[in-house]
Amino acid sequence: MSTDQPSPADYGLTLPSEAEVIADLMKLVGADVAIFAWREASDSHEDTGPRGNQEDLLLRIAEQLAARSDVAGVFGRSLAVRVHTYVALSTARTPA
Amino acid sequence: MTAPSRGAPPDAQTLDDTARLQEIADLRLHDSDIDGILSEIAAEAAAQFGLPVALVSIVLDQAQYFRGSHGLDGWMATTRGTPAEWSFCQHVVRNRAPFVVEDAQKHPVMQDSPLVRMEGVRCYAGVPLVTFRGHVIGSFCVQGPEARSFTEYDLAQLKRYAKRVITRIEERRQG
Repeated sequence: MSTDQPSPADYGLTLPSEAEVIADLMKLVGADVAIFAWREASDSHEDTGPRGNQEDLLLRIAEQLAARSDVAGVFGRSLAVRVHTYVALSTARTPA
Repeated sequence: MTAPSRGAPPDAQTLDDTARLQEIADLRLHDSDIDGILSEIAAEAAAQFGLPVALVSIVLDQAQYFRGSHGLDGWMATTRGTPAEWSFCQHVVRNRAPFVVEDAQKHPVMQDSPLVRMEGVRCYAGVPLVTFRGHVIGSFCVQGPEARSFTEYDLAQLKRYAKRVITRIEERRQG
């Protein structure tokens, strides 16, 4: 295990924008389903209080989508793994 | 039998194939209690191969997530997955065939992966997880931090583990 503190950039990992997420979702499930799923997720995010950072927003969207039992749900779980990875790598490692 | 890929694989299937992703959705893996069972199978494989890590990796459109695992530590134990483009297992799905990397530091496809550069994965052998409907949903694999070779017998053993994994997963299929 490395003793330095790598960042997401060291891994070449960036977070997608909201626009990129919805564009990817539209490619998978079509515009109607994608927009419906997106609105569900976004509304839920706004209902829970003030907007947080990009990671928080994407995680809420991912978790909302992941609850679905269709391909949008698979997309949500996929997005959740990517955001969780970004968050985990953003947290400073303690030396091994 | 499909020959294992050891070099740069000619990708045949995209990860975002809708029928494949629908199959993953239909299996409802996220809300089942199967993790413990699959992790037991992973632990058995790791012990047999004398390698520290074995995984049941479900490869989604943009990420792999570990539905069963043995030997994960650090951030991967928390995230239980990685971006798909870093993964060895994506190549099992793309090729619908075993993928073997004896020394990732010298492998043309994998040497630049953060899992190799940053996490020290050096050897890998994975076989497809093929559902009863014929979809490849992921990989059953073993990996370790030292270069090593894998034999045809090793791959046959991995396929037996993969068959046990799929049987357990299919038992939970709904509809």
